[in-house]
Amino acid sequence: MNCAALRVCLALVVLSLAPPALASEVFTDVVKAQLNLPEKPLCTLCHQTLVGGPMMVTKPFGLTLQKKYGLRLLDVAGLQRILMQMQATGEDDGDGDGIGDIAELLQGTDPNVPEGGVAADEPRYGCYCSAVPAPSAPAAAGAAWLAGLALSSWRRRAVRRLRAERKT
Amino acid sequence: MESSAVRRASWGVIVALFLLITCWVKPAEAYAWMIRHDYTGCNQCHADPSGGGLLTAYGRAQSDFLLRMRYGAPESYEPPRSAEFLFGLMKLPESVLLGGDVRYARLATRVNGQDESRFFFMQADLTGQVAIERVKVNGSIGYAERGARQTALTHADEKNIVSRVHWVGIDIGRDRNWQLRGGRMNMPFGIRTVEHTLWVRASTRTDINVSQQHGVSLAYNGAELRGEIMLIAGNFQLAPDAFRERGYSGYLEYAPSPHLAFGVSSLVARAEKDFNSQQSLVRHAHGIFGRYNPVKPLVLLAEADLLAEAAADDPTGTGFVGMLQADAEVTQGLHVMATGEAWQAPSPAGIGTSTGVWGSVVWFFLPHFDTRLDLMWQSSPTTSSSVEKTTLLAQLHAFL
Repeated sequence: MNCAALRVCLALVVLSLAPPALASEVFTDVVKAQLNLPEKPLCTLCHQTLVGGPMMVTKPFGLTLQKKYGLRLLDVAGLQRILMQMQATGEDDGDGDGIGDIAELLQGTDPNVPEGGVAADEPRYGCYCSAVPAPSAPAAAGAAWLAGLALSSWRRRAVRRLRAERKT
Repeated sequence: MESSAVRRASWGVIVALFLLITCWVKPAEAYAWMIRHDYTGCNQCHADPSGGGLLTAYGRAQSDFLLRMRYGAPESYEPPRSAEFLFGLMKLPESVLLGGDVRYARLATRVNGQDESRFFFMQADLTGQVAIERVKVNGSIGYAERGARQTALTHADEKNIVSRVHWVGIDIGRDRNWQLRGGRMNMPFGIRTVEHTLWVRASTRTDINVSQQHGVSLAYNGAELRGEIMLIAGNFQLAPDAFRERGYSGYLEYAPSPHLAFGVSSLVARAEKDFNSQQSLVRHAHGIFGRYNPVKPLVLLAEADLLAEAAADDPTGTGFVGMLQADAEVTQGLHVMATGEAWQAPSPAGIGTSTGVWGSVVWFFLPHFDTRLDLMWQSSPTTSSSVEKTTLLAQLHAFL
């Protein structure tokens, strides 16, 4: 039995040595890099929601990439090529407002919303329970260590004091 | 008397800090199929009154007696030391519960013929609870390599410190059947299950992975009846405030026998700006669920919920989500599961019904260790065609 368990563990360890594949979420990085944008666009540039997902490409810009240019999942090189092509022709205008999709991205408006609608807001994640900016992960861990040391020395002192009280 | 109280309190604080410092672990066990062992309720084994996550001392003992493969070891009524926290290396006071989960996974997907795979830490959390008489302080701290941003304490795109739950509760009543809690908690709704990507959990946003919310809840655990109602104040690990949902979520379950339990759930939540759809949204989920153990090795779990969503400027869309799961424990510690699910998103356009089938094998092969393999096939219609998705998920899970 232990042999079987060991085999399963070994198999999982061996499997874990394989390199991970790229996920389609790198598409937003590609758009940012290719068009030299200050921020990477949200998943909602192409997808219905921020969750993304291949079955949720519902926005005009995403549908243009998918249906007109045949962009496929994980095809980073294809996206780069398509963006170059779209930038060169400037003819794609998914929301039909007269401003090309790439031009809208460059000027910071949403190519899916007519008349240059502002791009969607991204929620901010993390602890916002105070006005003070939250510390970074290493700083938080360091602070926790210091607090731990202080508390353990406080505990030692309390125990020592109690022992002394007991003796008296 | 005073010395033991001070010692206990100081140990509690140090242990809580140990949790924070270690930054390494989450609660994810929630096995509704434990009804096969006559457990219709969850609070005997879990610190959360509605189940899932941090185990009580009794729960730890049961995980050794009932959950893991015994390999012919004789039955014992005395839980082994190895069932305790850190395999018994660290003796905890009775008032302190500690637990941790590390879950490493390989996820491989094929979407319309295109493959993708990756390895990742699904979970790396520490969870603890300190009890002072009737008052309980419970919290988790962990690390998320990617995703789970709704639970993050830090602000990076990935590699965040996360806290999925943190609450203070007080037991109420002579038999302590009631518990009033405030803080960040799992959403009380439907069948609480570890399979957080099941559509019944994901579409209602009631999974125990990332869907916790801050609020106040009142839970009841009686012999035949249990339930919890939570007033949702919003997820305060998400900003600005417009993205936070307000509303309620709750369930009530009745167990007429030790082998049968069924209940109802209801949820209404409104956000000024839904963080997914980016517009004002009121969402409803109302449904029924049940657990049935016809013969010892087999447990059937079922849930069906009606969904409705009203977004700004859009007509109300209605849909549904449901699942049926059969869990067969072939021999103690080895489970074979088959799950069917269906989901029609509450879109006014009415895209169609998605369907999915899961085949799973779960093996609790050693104390504190289990491994799991899931093969999932899902088909979702789109406006023009359909997306076929096949997923293979292998996990190795250790709990401290």
